[in-house]
Amino acid sequence: MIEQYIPSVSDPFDYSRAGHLLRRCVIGVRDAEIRNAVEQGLEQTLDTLLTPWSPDMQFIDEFAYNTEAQVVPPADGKDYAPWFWEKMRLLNTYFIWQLQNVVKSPLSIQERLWFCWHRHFCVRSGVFAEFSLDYNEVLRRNSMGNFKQFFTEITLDVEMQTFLSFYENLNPENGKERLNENYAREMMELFTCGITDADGKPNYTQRDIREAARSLTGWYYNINEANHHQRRKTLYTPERHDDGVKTYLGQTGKWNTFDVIDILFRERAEAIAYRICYKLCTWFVSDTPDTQIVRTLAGSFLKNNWELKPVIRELLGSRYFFDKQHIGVLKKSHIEYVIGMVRQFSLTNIPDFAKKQNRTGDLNPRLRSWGEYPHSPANVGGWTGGRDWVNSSVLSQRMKFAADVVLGRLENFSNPSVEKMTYWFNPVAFAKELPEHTDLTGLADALTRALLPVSPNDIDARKIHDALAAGASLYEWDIDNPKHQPVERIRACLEQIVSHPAYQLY
Amino acid sequence: MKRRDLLRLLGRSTMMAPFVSATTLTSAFATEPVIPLGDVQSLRRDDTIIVLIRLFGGNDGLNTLVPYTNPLYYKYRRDDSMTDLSKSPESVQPLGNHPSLGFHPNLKLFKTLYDEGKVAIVQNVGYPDQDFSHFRSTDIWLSASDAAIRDETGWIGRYVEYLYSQGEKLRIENPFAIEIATSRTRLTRAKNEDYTATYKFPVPIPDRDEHNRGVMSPSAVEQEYIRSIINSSNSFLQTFERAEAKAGKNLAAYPENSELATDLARVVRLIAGGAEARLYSIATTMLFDNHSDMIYHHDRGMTEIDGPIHAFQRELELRGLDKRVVTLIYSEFGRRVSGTLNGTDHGAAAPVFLLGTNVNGGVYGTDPDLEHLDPNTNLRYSIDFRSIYCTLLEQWYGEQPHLLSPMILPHKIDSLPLIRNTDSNRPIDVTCFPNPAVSESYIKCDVAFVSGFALFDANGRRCDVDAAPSGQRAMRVNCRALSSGMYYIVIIEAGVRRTGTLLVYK
Repeated sequence: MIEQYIPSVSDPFDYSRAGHLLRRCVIGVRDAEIRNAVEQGLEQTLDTLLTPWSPDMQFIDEFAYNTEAQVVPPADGKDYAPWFWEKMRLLNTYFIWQLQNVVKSPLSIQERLWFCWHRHFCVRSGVFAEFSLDYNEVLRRNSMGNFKQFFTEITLDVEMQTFLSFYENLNPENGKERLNENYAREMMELFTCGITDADGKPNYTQRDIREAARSLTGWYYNINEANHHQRRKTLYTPERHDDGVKTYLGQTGKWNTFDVIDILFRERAEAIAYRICYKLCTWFVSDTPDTQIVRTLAGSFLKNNWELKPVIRELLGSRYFFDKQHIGVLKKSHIEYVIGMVRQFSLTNIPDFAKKQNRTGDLNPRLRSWGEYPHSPANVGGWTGGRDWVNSSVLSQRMKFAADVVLGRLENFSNPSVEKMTYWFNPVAFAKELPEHTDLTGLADALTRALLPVSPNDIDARKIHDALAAGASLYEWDIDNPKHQPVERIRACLEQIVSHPAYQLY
Repeated sequence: MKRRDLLRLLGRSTMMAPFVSATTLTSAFATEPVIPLGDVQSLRRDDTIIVLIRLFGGNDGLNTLVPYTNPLYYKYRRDDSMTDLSKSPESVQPLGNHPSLGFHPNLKLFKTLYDEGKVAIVQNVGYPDQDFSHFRSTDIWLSASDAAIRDETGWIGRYVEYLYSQGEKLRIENPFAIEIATSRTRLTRAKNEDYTATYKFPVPIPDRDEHNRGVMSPSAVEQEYIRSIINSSNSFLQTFERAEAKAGKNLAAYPENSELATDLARVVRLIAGGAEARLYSIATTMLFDNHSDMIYHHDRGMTEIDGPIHAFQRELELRGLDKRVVTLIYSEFGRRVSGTLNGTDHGAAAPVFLLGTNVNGGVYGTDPDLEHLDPNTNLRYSIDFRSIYCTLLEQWYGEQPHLLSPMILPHKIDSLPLIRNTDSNRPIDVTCFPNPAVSESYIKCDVAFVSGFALFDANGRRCDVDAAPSGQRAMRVNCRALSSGMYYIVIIEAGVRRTGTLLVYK
C-alpha cells in the first residue's frame, strides 16, 4: 500500500485539495461541486467519484435499437451511397452522444476514465456506428473493473479487431502460414506489458509475436449476418484455428486465445501491473511518476488480482496524489479543454448538443483539426499527450477559443464552412453561482480559485482583479445593476483568467 | 555563394574591411601568404533546404518500386491462399534507365520527375536489428540512434544544437526547423537549445512577458513552458505570416482535399516568402500500415502522395527555388515480402527517395534481393539510413563529415553521391598541377579575382601553407611542410567558392 492521506486539522481536505481531486477525475469541474466535496469530506467524495453512472441511451436509440438502420450493407450500386451516409450520420450521433456524456456526467470518474482507456485501447472507427457503440460500452463496463477481463473483452471486440486485422489472422492452409501479426504485437506493445519491463529487459521476441498470432487464430465476424446482435459479435470457428503446438513466452502447448491471455497475464504479470499502474499515475498524478510509488501500486494491483477500482482508490486517496508538487502540472487534452469549458461554464445552445443532427457543427472540425477526436487517433499508438497538448501549433488556438467563449465571440457567429457556432455563455448567471458574487474582491478571487488549479502570482492576481474592477471603486459593484456593466466586467475578468497559462493545466 | 557569405568569410580575417576590392586582395597575397579563410564553417551553406516527408505506417517498398522482372516477387505476392498482393508487369511503369524496376501505376507524376533526372532512389535502406514496432522504429529514424539506444533527441535537434555551439546565429523568430504538424516529434528535439517550431494553424495570441519569481514549483515550471511557447510562437508566427503573405497564392495546381498538398503548398509559401527555415518536416499517417485490404489502401496512398509531391516540385521550379530544395521521402520500415490474407506485416528494408533539381537522379544500390530473405521473410538492409542523413548534412548543408559523429550521427558513415556538383553547391573544379605534388603545386585561376584561399587535410583540419600569385593565371602552393596524403583546396574566385583535391606524395 502507498501511504494514505488522512485529512487533519493541520492538513485539511480544503478547497485546494478537493479541487485537485475533482479536476483530476471529472472533466470541467464546477465551483459548487468542489465546495460540496469539501463538505462531504475525502472518503465520501471518493465513494461518489468511484460510482459508475449510466448515460442516457435515448439519444442514440435510433441506432442502438432501430433495426432499420441495421440492415446488411447493400452491394455496390444505387443503394450503397444512402446506406453509407446513413451510417455516417449515426456515427456522428454516437460521437456527439459520447461528448455529451461528459457534459451531463454527475460527479463520477467514469467519463475521464473512458477517455484515458480510449487513449490506451485506441481504435479508429469504420463505417459501423454500432461497433463503435459496442466498443464504447466495453470501456464503460470495465473502466473500474477487472483489467484482465477488460483486456479479454477488448480482444474480442469487433471495432478493435477490424482495426487491428484480427480476422485476417488465419490458420495455415496447405502447409502455408496465413498469419497476421498486427494484434499479437500491439496487444503486448500497446495494451499490456510493453516492449520492455521496468528494468529495460525485453518482454517478448519476434518469435513470441508469431506464436501468439498463431494462437489467436480462429475468429471471424459475419458482416452479412441479418441479425445485428449476431453481426456485432466476434465468432469462433475451430476450422480457422491453428491447433498446433506453440511456444509462447516459454510455455509450450496447443494454445488458443484464452490460453495466450492467461499465459501473458501469468508470465508477464509484473510487467503488466507496472505498466498499467504507471499509466494510471500519468493519467491522474504526473507526467513523470515516481517509479517506487508505481512499483508499490503494482504490488497492490497484483494482490487485488487485476481489480482496478481498489488500485485507483488507493492512488487517489494517497499522500503521493495530494503532494503539492503534483497540483496543476498535467496538461488538459483538447477534449478536456473544450468539452471541459462546455461543462464548467454551462455553455448552451450548441446546435450539435441541442438537436439530433448529423452535423457536429463547430465541435467536430475544431477538435479534429487540433488533433483529438474520439475514435480518430493520430496513429495506432493513440495520442502523445503531455506537453504535446500545448504545442506551438495548437496552444494559440486553445487560448483564443477560451477567450472567445468567455467574451461571447462565438455566439451567433456564422462560419460559412461549418455552421452557426453558438457557445452561449451567461456571465452573470455563472458568477451568481458563487456565493462571493456580491463582493468585487471576493468574486475575483473566487473565480480565479474555481478556474485555475494554482494561485497566480501577485501581478496576475492584480490583473484579474483590475479587469473586474474596470477602474471603478470597490463599492461600485452590483451584479444586478446593468449600469455597473456586470456582463462586460465579468467577461473581462474571465478573459484574464482563461488566458493565464495555468488554465491550460489541471 | 552569396555576397553575404563572402563578407562573413572576410569578416573573420584579421586584416579585411567588410568589403575589399580584388586589387587589395591580390596585393595582400604578397605580404600575407595565407588569407585566413575562417574555419570549417566556411564550407557551410546557408540557403539550402531539406524537406522531409515521412510515410508513417511502414510503406511497402516492393509495391512502390516494383521488382516486376523478378519471378520471386510474384511467387511471394501471388499466392492462391490469399488476395493478389502484387502489381502486374503490365500495370507498372518501368524505369527507362533501369528496366528491371517499375514504379507503382499511381506514381505517374512522380515518374515524370524521375525521368527528368530529379529523383534518386536508394535501395534496401534500413538499420541493424530492425525493431518491428512503428513507434520504436520511427523514433530510431527520427533520432538516428542505434536500435538498442533510446535517444530522446532528434538528429535535426542535435544538428541545431551543434550549429549553435559553433556560434551560428540562430533566432527564435526564424526557426531552423519547422514541423508542419500539430505536435512535435523527436526529430527536432535537442538537449538544450530550441530553435525549432511546429506550425499548422496560425492564430496570433497576446504576448505574455511576466515571469514567475522565486522557487519554481512543478506547476510553475509547466506554466513557464507554456509562456515560452506563447512567446516563441508569437515571434515566429509573425515571421511566418509575413512570409505567407509575401509569397501570395500558390502557383501550381495541388490536388484538392489533400492534407499533404495543403502542407506542401504552405512550405512553398514559407520558402518563397523568406522564412529562413532550413528544414521542414511533414508526416502523413494511416495510409501505409497495410495489414488489411492492402492493395486498395496502398493504391490510394500512392495517389495521395503522387500529385502533391509533383505539384510541390513544379511550384519550386516556377518560383526558381528548386535549386535550393531537396525532398526526402521515407518510411519507418518496409513491409514483409510474403503476405497475410490480404495485407502484409511489418517488414524491414525499403527504398527511400530523394527529390530535387540538384539531385543526381537514378537508382543506387542493388535491386531487392528476394532470394536471401531473413527468417521472417523480410528484406535484408544493405544501406544504413544514416548514410542518407550524412549525405544531406555533408553535401547539402556543407558540413565536414568527420565532425558529424558522434554528436549528430552515432557512427562515422559514408555518404552517397546523391547530390549534383554544381557551382551553387559543391564544385570540385579547381585544377592543380602537378598533382600529385612533391614540393609545390600551381592552382589554375584568375589571380585578380581571388579573394580567399585555404587548404584542409583529409580530416578537415586547416593547414598553414604558403600560397602566392605566380603570374596572372596561377597561384603557387608550397607543399614542403605537408606530409603525404590527400588535401582539399578551397579558393574564392570572383565570389564563387571552388574546391579541388591535391595529393601530396613524398
